[in-house]
Amino acid sequence: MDTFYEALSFYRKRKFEKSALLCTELLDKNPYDQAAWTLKMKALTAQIMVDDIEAEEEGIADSLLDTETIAQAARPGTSLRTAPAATAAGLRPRGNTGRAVSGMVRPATQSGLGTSLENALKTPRTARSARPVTTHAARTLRLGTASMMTQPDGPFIQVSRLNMSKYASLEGIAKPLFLYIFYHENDVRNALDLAVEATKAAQFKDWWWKVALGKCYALLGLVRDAEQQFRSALKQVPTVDAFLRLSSIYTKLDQPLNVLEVCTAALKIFPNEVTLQTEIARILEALNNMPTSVKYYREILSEEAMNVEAIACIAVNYFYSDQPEVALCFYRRLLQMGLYNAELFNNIGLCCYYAQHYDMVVNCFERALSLAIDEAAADVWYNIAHVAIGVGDLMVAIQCLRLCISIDSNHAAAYNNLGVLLNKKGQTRDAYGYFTASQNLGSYLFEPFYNHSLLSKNAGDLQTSYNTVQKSLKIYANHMPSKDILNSLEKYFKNI
Amino acid sequence: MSLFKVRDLWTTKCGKDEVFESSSLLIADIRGQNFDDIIVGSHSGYLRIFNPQFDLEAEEYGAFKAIDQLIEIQLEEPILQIAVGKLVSGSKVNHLAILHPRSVAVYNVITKTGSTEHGDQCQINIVYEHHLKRSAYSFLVGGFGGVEGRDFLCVLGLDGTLMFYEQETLSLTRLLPNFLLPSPIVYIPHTDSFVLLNSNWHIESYRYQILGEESTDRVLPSWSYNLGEDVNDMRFLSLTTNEAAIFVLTERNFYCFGETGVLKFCKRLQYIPLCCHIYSRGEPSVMSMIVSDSNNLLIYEGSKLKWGAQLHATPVAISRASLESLQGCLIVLTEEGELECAYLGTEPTVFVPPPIQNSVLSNAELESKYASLQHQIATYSKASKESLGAPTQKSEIKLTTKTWPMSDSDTTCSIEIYLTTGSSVHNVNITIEVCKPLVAEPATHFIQTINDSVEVSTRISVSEGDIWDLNCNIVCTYLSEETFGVVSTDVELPAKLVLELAPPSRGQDFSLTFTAMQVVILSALFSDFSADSWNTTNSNEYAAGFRYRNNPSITFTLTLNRPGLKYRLEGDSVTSLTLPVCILAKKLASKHLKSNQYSLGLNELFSAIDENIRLRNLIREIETELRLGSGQMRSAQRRLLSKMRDKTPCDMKPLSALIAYTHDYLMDAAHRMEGAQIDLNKNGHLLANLLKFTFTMIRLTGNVLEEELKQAYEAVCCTQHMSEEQGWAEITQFSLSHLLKTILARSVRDQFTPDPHTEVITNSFLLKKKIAVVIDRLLKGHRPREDRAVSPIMEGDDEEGKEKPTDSLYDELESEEIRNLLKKSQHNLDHL
Repeated sequence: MDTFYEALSFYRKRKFEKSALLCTELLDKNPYDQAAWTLKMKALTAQIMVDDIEAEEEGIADSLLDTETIAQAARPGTSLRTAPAATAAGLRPRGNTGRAVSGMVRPATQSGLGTSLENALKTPRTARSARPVTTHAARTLRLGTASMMTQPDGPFIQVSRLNMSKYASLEGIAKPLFLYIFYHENDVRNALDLAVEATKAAQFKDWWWKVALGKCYALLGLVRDAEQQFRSALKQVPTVDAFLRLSSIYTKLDQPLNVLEVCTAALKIFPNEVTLQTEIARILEALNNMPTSVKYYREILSEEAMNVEAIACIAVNYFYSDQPEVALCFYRRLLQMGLYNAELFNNIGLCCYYAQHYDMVVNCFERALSLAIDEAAADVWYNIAHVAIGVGDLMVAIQCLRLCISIDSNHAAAYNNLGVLLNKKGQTRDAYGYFTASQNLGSYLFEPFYNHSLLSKNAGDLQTSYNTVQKSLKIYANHMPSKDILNSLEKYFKNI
Repeated sequence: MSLFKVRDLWTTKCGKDEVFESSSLLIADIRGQNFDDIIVGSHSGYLRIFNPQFDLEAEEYGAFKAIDQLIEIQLEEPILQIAVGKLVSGSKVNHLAILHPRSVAVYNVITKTGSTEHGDQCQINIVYEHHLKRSAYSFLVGGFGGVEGRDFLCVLGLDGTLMFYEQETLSLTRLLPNFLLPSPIVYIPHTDSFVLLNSNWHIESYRYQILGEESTDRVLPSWSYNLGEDVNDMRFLSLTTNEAAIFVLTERNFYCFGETGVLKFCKRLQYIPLCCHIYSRGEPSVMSMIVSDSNNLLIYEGSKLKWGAQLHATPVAISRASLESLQGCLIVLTEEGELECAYLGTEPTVFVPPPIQNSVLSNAELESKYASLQHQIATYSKASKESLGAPTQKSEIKLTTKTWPMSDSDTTCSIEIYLTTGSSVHNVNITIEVCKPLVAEPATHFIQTINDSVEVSTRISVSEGDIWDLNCNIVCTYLSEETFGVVSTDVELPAKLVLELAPPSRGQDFSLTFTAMQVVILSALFSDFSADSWNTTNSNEYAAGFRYRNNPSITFTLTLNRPGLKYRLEGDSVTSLTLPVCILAKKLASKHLKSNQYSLGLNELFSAIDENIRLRNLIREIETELRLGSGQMRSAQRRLLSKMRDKTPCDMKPLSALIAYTHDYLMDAAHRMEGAQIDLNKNGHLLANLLKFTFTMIRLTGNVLEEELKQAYEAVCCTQHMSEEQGWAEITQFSLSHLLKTILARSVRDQFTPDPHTEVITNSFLLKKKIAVVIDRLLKGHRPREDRAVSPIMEGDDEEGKEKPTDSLYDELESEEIRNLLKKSQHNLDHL
């Protein structure tokens, strides 16, 4: 059996470590064996390569030290930050980053609305991770150092000693080498050097190098250069990858309309491409355009009936459109498909409760609690509190909310609800405290402001009431009870 | 994750510790029987041919039977790939081609019909073998150059050489340009070209003809597509006679190209594909099976997902076969050699979640558990609330005191105060409080920081005045790291400080008799007096005389009637008896000391109240005088000033006389004011003395609720309170009314009596009556008298009714004694 054939065979079967080991053997015998060298490079890269389009995560440094932001106060509908609140019927609660709850947790849904430094520092920080996400580059750099540990004889390739222009012109080696430097070594600058040399050597005719350049630029924060490279690459050969990367650039630039435009154009070339449709649906969801978003998710389902994200998002939409029975069908499908986690049981429990399948509710929540890891349990308790309120057992509701807070001390909505319940019990002082805590933790919630305002108004503290109700209306401008309070206060102040 | 599972039909295991890969599996009709056989070759050189037969109607159709395996033979070299084609010249029969690393061999498969039930016998015979000069990677079989009815071989070497064998002869060797790592290769008969990936990740198509032209130095591809990705697998499917599709599976995408290199569709995969198989279900649908890294088998029609099912194992190769007993059967080969025939079950395997660990309790058990938890929570939160609140029972400072024993000649008593602390405290203030004639020197101590312990001492001496209380209250306030704290303690000063023994005397004005369950002899009660003084003063265990050291003229005598279990206390005045009564009450508290002479001091108390009111009235009068006088003084001075400024001189004498007179008048008033205030102060002490006496005596009656007595005493005891608008009388009246409305209320009517006006009290009658009623109610104990509440008819004699017809409290006084005393004091006042 030929050793090189064996190495190739292992590579094909995704046994990258064994493949790299055999290549090392070959290279020991003949250090100038280009094929073995390339194969080892590819094997090492494939070991740790992840699909970096999905893993895009915007950190503080990316979002704050960003000079590319065009408008701070964008027109409504043109920015993810100023997305208009949905109508009351489809009003969804917001997660701990302040974004409306989506059917699926994705890397991007974790990033906050980094409008100010304080906000950015606060939002992604949860009880789970004390440190906010810093930058993409920093994160991948850590991955890189970890991979170095696996090589006892030092790094396979001394990147800094490579003659970039020589290797750039070597067809067959340059591309795997770029991937190796970019993904395995995480040395973006050297990767960029190589890409620049290579695209020159290819006389700017190879779209692959342009995409490579774009990837480097995007990581280095040169978003506009990256955009240019991706566009140029797409002109030569349209690829789904490049379209997705371009759209993620626009997401980073907070230009959702451009994302939609790019993806729609891409869909003409690659009809019914699920990843592109998903991208559109996500952006529409972030823009609070739920009906259109769900339409895209439906298209995804007709194309790919087992797409979990689409099922989950449609289910969430049904749930918040007061059709828990339909949502229950979708969630049950997810369960049948073998999804088995706390979040799913939690959702099924809630759907059952609202669809009046009371016999199932306790069972589902028990399961959810037994499966819950970390802060998921907090959300489960929060929902059980809702059920308890519905049943009328306020003591249990209060205790559930306390449990929720004991698990996740940043649960703003739980503080608000606890405040309401305590106020009902007569502990108005405590209620004020909880409302204030809720306001501090979740500046995106209008409820604590409204509740605070209502309590203050009833207590006769009209000035506080006036101030807080304005904050409430700032968050949710169409909240009628808040408007009522404001009107009556203004009338009263005018009379004075 | 998928709703369906692939159903097993037939399984077997090929060898032990053998290695297989995607090229190890071939489905082909090798025997010309119009159904497919499964041919598997391993890297260990074993060739196996299976013909699974199962009766779908039978119950156990899934078992492997020996008859299903047609052949198992070990070849000398590892088997890299197997192919089938008409490879022997002059024969239209399919032959088996096997690629070894350094050779390629063609075998003939022969079936000998068996006569017994063992079935047919199968043999393979080598037809010819080519030894390769270079290591082989893969090979292709096809009618290159458009030949009909026979197939040629094309071997791709690891170094990128294409070696063409036209059946038994080597026809051509060609080195591919731009080659580094071998890639999958397919032959497209429609265009007679080979498609593969070059090292720059372009898909290139080379025409056989161009490859065959010897003259060209460098072969040029007929088309090329910049794919930009490494290729996992490449397949070819002939759609029609002139249309073909090339399927390219990469790490992230699944592409479909036309035969001329036009991209038909592309699908981005959201998983890592392992292997694939392409087949056609007839015109025009193109089906592709892709296995994901999570062992999901996904079947697409075009780019649209049609079916998803879960596989049991991770395959390296997947294919579709038309077996003898089943058309379109799924063949799966794993790396370890598990060979499986399967079908896509349409019945969903519903995922059944595992049962929850904790067993379900009955409702009653749950209820009780819930109740106990609720209780736990309630008690816990109470405890935690206490621990959270600022002032706690636990103090950081421990305060202990020590009173030094006094010798006979000592006139002062010294108290030592020890403070010990566990943690560091600062700003410590110690205050020693004693009743008026007693003087503490120094009265306060201030210590900046205490780390461990500290000791301070204070001397108590006696000044002029009636002594009625020997209690000394020591209060210590401090700040610690988080909070502040207060510690206090009471010290009883020794009686020796204020008393000394005197000869007992008899027949003094006031006498009190106490009864006790047990008696203690006097020398034991006052043990701190020396034996000498007992002897010199003729005092003994049964009779002892005492006098106050600061005022020797005031004496009292205590005698003990041992058989009668009685103490008798005699003194010149009520005020002098307060101290011995308190001492006795305290020392004999455990002996059930009792007396019912609570009214002894009431007369004095009432007259002291009268005096208090009188003095306050007097002070107000003097104030008015002072106001008038000073007004007169001011206007006289103003007048004097204007006269002085006047140009015309005039006589100043009358004016100066007026000023002198006013001055005298003011000075006189001021002196009287001073006197009155001193008197009021003294009266305050007297009041305190008498109140203490009265309330101690009330307690000694033994039928009073301790809590009520304490509150009532606290309502009246602030005798030193001085302000112009609010004196002791006002405060006492108000707090007593409150008491009468709350804890001392005896009827519903009481609870709705209006609050007294907070005016300056000039008449003592109402106040005295309130005190009388309070004492009366205290004595009666807690006996609610609802009958009185419903009766609107006032009771009591008519005489008082005439005097104060509106006063409802008056007639409540049931105790004749108090009523008489009250009347008497009223009478005295009227007389004055």
